Amino acid sequence: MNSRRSGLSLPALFWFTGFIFIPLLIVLAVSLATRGIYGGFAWDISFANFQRCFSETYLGIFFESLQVASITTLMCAVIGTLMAWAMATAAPRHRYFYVCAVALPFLTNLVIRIYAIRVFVGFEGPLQSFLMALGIAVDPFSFSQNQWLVYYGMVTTYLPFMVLPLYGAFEKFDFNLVEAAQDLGAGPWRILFSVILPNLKRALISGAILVFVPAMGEYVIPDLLGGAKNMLLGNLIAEEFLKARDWPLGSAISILLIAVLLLVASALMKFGGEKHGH
Amino acid sequence: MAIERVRPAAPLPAKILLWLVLSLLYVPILVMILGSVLDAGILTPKWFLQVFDDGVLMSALGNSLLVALGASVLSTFLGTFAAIGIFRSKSKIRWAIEGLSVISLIFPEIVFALSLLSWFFVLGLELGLTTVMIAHVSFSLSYVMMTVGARLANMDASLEDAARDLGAGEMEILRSVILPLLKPAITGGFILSFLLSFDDFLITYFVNGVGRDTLPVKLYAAMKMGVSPKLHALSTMMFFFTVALLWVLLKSQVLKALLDRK
Amino acid sequence: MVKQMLELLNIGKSFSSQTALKGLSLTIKEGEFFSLLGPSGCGKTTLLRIIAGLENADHGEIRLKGERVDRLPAMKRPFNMVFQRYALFPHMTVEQNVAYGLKLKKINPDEIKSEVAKALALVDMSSFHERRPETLSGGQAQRVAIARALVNKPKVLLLDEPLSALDQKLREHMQKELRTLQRKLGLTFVYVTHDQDEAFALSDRIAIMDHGVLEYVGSPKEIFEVPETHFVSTFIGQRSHLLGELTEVSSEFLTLKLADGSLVKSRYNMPASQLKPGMKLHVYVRKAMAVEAGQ
Repeated sequence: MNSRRSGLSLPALFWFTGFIFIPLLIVLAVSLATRGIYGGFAWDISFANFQRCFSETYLGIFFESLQVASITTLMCAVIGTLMAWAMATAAPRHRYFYVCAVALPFLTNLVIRIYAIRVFVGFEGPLQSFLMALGIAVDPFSFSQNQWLVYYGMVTTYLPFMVLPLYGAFEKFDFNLVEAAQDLGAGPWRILFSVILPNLKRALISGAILVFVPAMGEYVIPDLLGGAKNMLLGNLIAEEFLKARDWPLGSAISILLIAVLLLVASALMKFGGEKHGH
Repeated sequence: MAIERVRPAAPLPAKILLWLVLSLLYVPILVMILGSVLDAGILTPKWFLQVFDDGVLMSALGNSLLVALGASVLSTFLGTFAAIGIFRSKSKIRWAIEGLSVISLIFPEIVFALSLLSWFFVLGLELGLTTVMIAHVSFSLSYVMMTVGARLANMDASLEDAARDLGAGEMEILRSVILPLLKPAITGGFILSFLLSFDDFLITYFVNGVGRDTLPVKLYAAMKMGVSPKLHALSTMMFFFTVALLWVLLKSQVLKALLDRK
Repeated sequence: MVKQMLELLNIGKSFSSQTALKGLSLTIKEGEFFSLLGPSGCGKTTLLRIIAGLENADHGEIRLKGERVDRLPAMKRPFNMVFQRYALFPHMTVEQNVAYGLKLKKINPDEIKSEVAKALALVDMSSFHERRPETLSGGQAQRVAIARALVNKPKVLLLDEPLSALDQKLREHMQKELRTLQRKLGLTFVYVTHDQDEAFALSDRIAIMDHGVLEYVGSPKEIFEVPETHFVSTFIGQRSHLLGELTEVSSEFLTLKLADGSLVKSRYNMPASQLKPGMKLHVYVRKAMAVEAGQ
């Protein structure tokens, strides 16, 4: 009875295969090719590109990206948990508002949001004026692109991916446990760690994957807020593809990135799949 | 759905953090919106007028709308039937689709951007709005599947049984029972795809080739050269366009129907 | 030999690791109100769905008056089902719901209209034509569901715990209505329930099931008097059996005069129209305790 209906999903399957799966295979293939003279590539197969990935500069960028992605994930987890807790315990009619407020930026254009940050903190922008009015000395040029801004952009961009699953978990959470703990005299932080967090494990793991994986390859934020000195993997790959026109090298870097991401994602999922020992 | 009783409140720092973060999220946007209507402290529409006068920007807007429309129609069509097809199925097809769907949702955008670029190159396809549309369908498919899938999961299973018992065949059940009940979710999926397409930057940047840019790409290029009130206006316009569509999505029966069980 | 209405021969069904039905065989007579009774998980609903054609048995046959029907898809079988939660199409009116099956048979619209009207009249829902399912109460929705099934003139009506979502009082009322309806139409009913009171009140015969196996088949009287297996006796529970003469009957209570002259007044679950003062009744009552007030 259902086999005919499965057929309805075939067009989508073909699309996915054709435009998600096969392109990834192509990347794998190209990573083994050699750069052509006028850009593009020639099918001289070798592992040379992968070897080049392990140069000092490139490894530096890799670890830089790893750091940014990890810190972003961590910050999102901490902030996200607290936010979701506050949201889930707000008055019922306010919850809807909070969810929309958190989700809205995610659905708007990233470039706009980053632009807004630039405007806000930038040269002679309101933040600078505000700080100067408070008498804090500020170097106007240092504000437009630096590492802190990158983190600001990353965290604000990726928070919804962490907050929304966590909020969902809070919705299903049995708050009787919290009341019982309060009854027994536990303070709020104790409650957080021993009662709430263990139940949020799955949501935290999903959130972590949803943040870490895309964050590792982020392009726009470091590009617009970080400047030339703060190049991350995403920027590196884009540069190889668009500027240096070394597609094989760019592909090789991407393959390594994908490999790392698959590893991290499966490690996280294994970690999340553990049953409680107690 | 959790019972709507009063829950024990979270500690104060958590609530403060919530508001702090929401401010940090929205203040820059508000600043930008303000900047788009002020000129040396006076309210003026002149920046918006400059945007509308700019032929290049307007044609980019046209491109964005065209691509978004085409991509969302295709995406909604494929995604809806995919969601119906895999629903409660145990076949290998479902496993494959779900796996690829997850990949398309999670992998960094840049990976898709360059994979599609390479694939189009190998295929010999000329880069332009068509390739952009293809790319957009590829990443919005999963969202449509999720939206429609959620509604399907909420649907009373015995409705199909009843239809079958009364003599309806597969196609008839689809036509007279399933699709009518899915209408809100299909609309929601459509609007979602439209927004995702309209707002997409990175993938579009990679695969649109030279010449016909979409609005986000134009915005990016302009941004590289610095901030200006005209760009404030452009950004504000795009922001409100998104908000307006989301408003339509929420206020219409769509979201309510998605959340109700039936 | 008279062909039985419905014969189930050696029906077996497994779901992944579990066996839901183990080689079950049953015969149901024409015009009978036949119930499948058992605790949840015993396989009664699965069996009903197999009869309807919504599930396929792994092995076994189903015969309707001697002809095999198990090879037919659900839509071609002359059975119709009433679902536990009514399963009324929310995006259609009551009239459109009831007309659904007829439309599919490509019957002409005027005839459909009159058949629908007749069916709704049968269940006392004539004024509800244009209403939407979400505006109906549980009892009203259930009646529409019954009308929707009956309008297709099925040879057997299958009912899957149709009253379990209703509150007690309404349920008792509907039980009487169902019984009356069945008698009036002379239609074979196959009824699934986990509620023994309900099964006893409604049925001509009951099949008691447990863990996919048929424990016992018999009339309520037979089951009560000869609980053949341990399961049946524990499942049925303790009851007292009284025999007496009906002296009074009102809409809620009947009064029974026992052989020793004592009078028992109790609620009842037979259709009132069948109760006439002076008739002899078997009455099965749950154990009653007399306790001093205040304890």
